[in-house]
Amino acid sequence: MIQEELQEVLSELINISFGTATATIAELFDNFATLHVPDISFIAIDDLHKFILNHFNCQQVYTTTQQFKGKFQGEIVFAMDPQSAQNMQGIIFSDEDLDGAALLSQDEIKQSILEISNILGSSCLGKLAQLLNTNITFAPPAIEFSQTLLKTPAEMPYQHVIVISTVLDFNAMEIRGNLFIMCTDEMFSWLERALEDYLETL
Amino acid sequence: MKILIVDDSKLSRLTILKRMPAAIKESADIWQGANGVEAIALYKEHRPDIVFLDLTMPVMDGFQALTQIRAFDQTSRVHIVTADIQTKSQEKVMALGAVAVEAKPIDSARLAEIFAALPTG
Repeated sequence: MIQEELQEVLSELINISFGTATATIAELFDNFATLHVPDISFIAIDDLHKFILNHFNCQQVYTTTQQFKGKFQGEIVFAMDPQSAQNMQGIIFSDEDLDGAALLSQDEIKQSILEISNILGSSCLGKLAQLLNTNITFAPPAIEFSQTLLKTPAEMPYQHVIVISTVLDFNAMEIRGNLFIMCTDEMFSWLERALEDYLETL
Repeated sequence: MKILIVDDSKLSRLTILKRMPAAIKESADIWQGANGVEAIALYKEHRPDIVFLDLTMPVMDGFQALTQIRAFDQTSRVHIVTADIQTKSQEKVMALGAVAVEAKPIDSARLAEIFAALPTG
C-alpha cells in the first residue's frame, strides 16, 4: 500500500485537481459551489461493487465509466445516488420552466449525469496528470443505472482502486458522488514514482 | 520579515516554504498554522508582514479567517493560496480585503514577485 507521505501528496494534488473540476462545473451551472476537500482512500478491485452499494445505502446507483490512456492509464468510475441525481437536475434546470426533475425522462437524467461525470473525471484526472508532468487522453464515457457495475471486477484488468469521495455543494443542494480511479499494479507503481518525483522537485 | 503560512495540507505549506526566495527564507521569521482559528491567533500574536492563507480548511475556513484578520488589522497583507479557482470565490476574498488570489500550486516566480512587491522598511 502507498506510503503515508505519498498519500498526503496525492491527497493535496487531487484537492487541487478537484478544485479545477468544481470550477468548471460551477461555471457550467452558472452557480457557485462551496469547495470541500475530497476524502481519499484505497480499496482492492474485488471490493469496489460492495463499496459502492454500502456507501450509498441504496439499491441502485448511477455509475459511469471512462478509460484514460497515456503514461498513466486506467479507468474512472463515477457513482452517484438517485437523490444526488435529482438535486443535480434541480440545479441544472433551476432557471427553466420545469416542474422539478419529475418531467425529465430517465434518458435525460442519464445524459446530464454522463456530461457531469465526464467533466469531473477529465478535469480532475487531466489536472492531476498535468501536475505529475504527463498527459492523458480520455475515451467516451458510458453510463448505467443498476445494482451492478458495467463490468464485474473479474472482467477488469485492474488491481488498485483510489477512492475520491466528493461533494459538490451548491447552496446546500449537494451532489454527492464517488470517483474511483482504477489502475494496474504497473500503473500504481508509476503513480508512486511520479508522486516521489513531485515531492523531490518541489 | 515575518511570514505566516496557513493551510491544513502540510504539502502546501512545504511548497510555499521551498519555493520562496532563499534569501527571504533564511532571514525571515516564519510561522505555520493548519486552520483559520490558528491563523487568527498567530496573526494577533506576531503581526506578520505577509500571510499566505488557504480557503478550504477544517475548524474555520479561510473566508472567515480573512474577515477576522482584516477586522483586527486593516493594513494586513493576505494572499489567498487556493485550489478554489471559481471567479465568485476570487471576487469574494478580494472584497474581503485580500491582496491577491494565487492558484495552487504557487510557483517560485510568483512568490519572488510577491516578496519583491512588499513595501520596505
